[in-house]
Amino acid sequence: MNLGLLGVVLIIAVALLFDFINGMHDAANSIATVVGTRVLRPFQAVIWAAFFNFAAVFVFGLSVANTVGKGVIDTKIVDERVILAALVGAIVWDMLTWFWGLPSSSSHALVGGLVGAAVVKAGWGAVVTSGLEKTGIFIVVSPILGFILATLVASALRALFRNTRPALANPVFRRLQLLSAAAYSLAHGSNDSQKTMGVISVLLLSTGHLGGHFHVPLWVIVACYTSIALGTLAGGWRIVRTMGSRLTPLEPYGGFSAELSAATSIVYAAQLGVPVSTTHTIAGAIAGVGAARRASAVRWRLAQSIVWAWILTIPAAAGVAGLIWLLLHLVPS
Amino acid sequence: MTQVPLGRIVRELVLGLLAIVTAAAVLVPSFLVVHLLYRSGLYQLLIATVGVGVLLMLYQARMRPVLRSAAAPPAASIGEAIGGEPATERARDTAAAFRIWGGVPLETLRVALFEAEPDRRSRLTPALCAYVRDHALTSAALAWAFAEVGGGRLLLLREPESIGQPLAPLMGVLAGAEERSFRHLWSAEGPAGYEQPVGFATVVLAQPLAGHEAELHSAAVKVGERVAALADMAGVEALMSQAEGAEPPWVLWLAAGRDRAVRRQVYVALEAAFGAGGPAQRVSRYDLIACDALVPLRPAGARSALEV
Repeated sequence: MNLGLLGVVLIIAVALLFDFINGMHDAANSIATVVGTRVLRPFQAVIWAAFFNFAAVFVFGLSVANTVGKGVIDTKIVDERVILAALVGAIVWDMLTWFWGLPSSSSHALVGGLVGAAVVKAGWGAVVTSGLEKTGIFIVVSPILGFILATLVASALRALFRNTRPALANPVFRRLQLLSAAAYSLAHGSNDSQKTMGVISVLLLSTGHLGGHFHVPLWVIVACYTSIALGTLAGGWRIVRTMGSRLTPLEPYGGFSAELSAATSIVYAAQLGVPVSTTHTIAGAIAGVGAARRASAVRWRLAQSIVWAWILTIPAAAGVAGLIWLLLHLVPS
Repeated sequence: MTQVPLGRIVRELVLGLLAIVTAAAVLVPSFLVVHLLYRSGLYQLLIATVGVGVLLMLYQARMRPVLRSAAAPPAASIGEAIGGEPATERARDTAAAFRIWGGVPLETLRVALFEAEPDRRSRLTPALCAYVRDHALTSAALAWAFAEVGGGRLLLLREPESIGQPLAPLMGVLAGAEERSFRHLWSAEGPAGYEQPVGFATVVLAQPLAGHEAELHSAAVKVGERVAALADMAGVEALMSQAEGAEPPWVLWLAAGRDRAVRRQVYVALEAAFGAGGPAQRVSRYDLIACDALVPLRPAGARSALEV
């Protein structure tokens, strides 16, 4: 399939749409705790999160984009059909899990989509095993790390503030949540935008629009950050089924602990170039805050569904993308 | 615009910095360890993370009974807060059972509806109030008792996540109880601090006609907005229960105010929103019982009124 420039533009539009949907879907994670604890009104919170989603462009490197672009599948087998199948596979899986109410990860769905389309096209040899292995391990590590860190931070803060009047402590943590929510939004923008940058860049490379070597052009960086920020802005209050209150009720100190722990975990993974699920990481961190209070404060049934999403997302998105690649293969070039 | 005293600003700044330093003191060494593990191998990192996660969970669930004890009472000063006087040795600095919640939305509320046997009805209210009073001495969590207006039922409203005492002793006093959890839907900005006493509070439990859930929600929010605008209101919340089978979910509407004089205006607004011809098929209203006046504080060492 060689669609020419128009085809490339269309696939980039689909990739940016994926980024937009990602921002819209994850707006809940970025603003749930600040809205839930009344630090900001929903609209203010959405603007706050969108701004810091975009501001990530000035703060972080492009390690995740490089991993998604050339560290998951062999760039030599990439063409428009593989990218389109991967994107559509990821979007379809995201929509299905949204419909089923499973907290799926669009990062993992995209990685799964790339792997599925590449394997169907060129066999297992097309998969960069080390990149996939690292991503697979961090699927488990990142939420548990969020959980551990949030438990420790929340326990330390509870110990320190155990005798402080709520009327004094709550306003302090409500203001601090502005910082932690900003940190989380920066981390989210960085991790989630970069995977789309990687996909667009590898598409440009495979179609000869990027010169001889893989890199992420500036316009791709700006487009992706803009797209995710606009998605977050469009997310609004309607889509906020607060991850915070669904897993465990949060107080301001809990929101601060969860967001800060999740943000640092995501940024750490981003510096290593590993695409992680921001949803799973914040969910792990929120569960950690609940567990710091007492284990039964966490709704483990929801945590269980997150574990299922860990297990299923990559193979399922790979399967959907593989099928879509086969369908696209039937389309004459 | 309200003037905030300089002392309070300084205290908040110090506490804020302390919180940031504490978080950094936990996170920085943690990431150093994580990075060392990462450099020694991906599988080492995986095994260590899962291992620590499981151990932490086991510790919290099984080996830390203190987590199931009552919430710590507040400190009287920042010096005491940082000094760390043992929480259990000091009673709350206010004996009032009814304090306005401190600007934190009530994410989940557990509602228990009680109906007493005719011959035990007179004991039900004091027993429930004794529970509320005991709870107020040891916990900052909300636990309020209400009496049905024009009916015989009592309602206990409480935050389930921070219960100091189990409800089990109370169950012995009661003939029957029905419990339901409600989740936060909407709330008005409450100025609220825990120190402020409540003058009155009222709860409306309403079940929508099938297919009119959104309409009832909208009515609850509208009346909430109207009531929140009244003078001396402390907070207004709307919550919704989980739907059970074909039965529509219940809406719980809660308002608390500082001045009892405003009650009448609240009731008039409620009548218009939840009255006949509206989207609700079943509506009942409950008013806060003045437990502070009804049940005296239990002297130290005395048996609880629940131990009947």
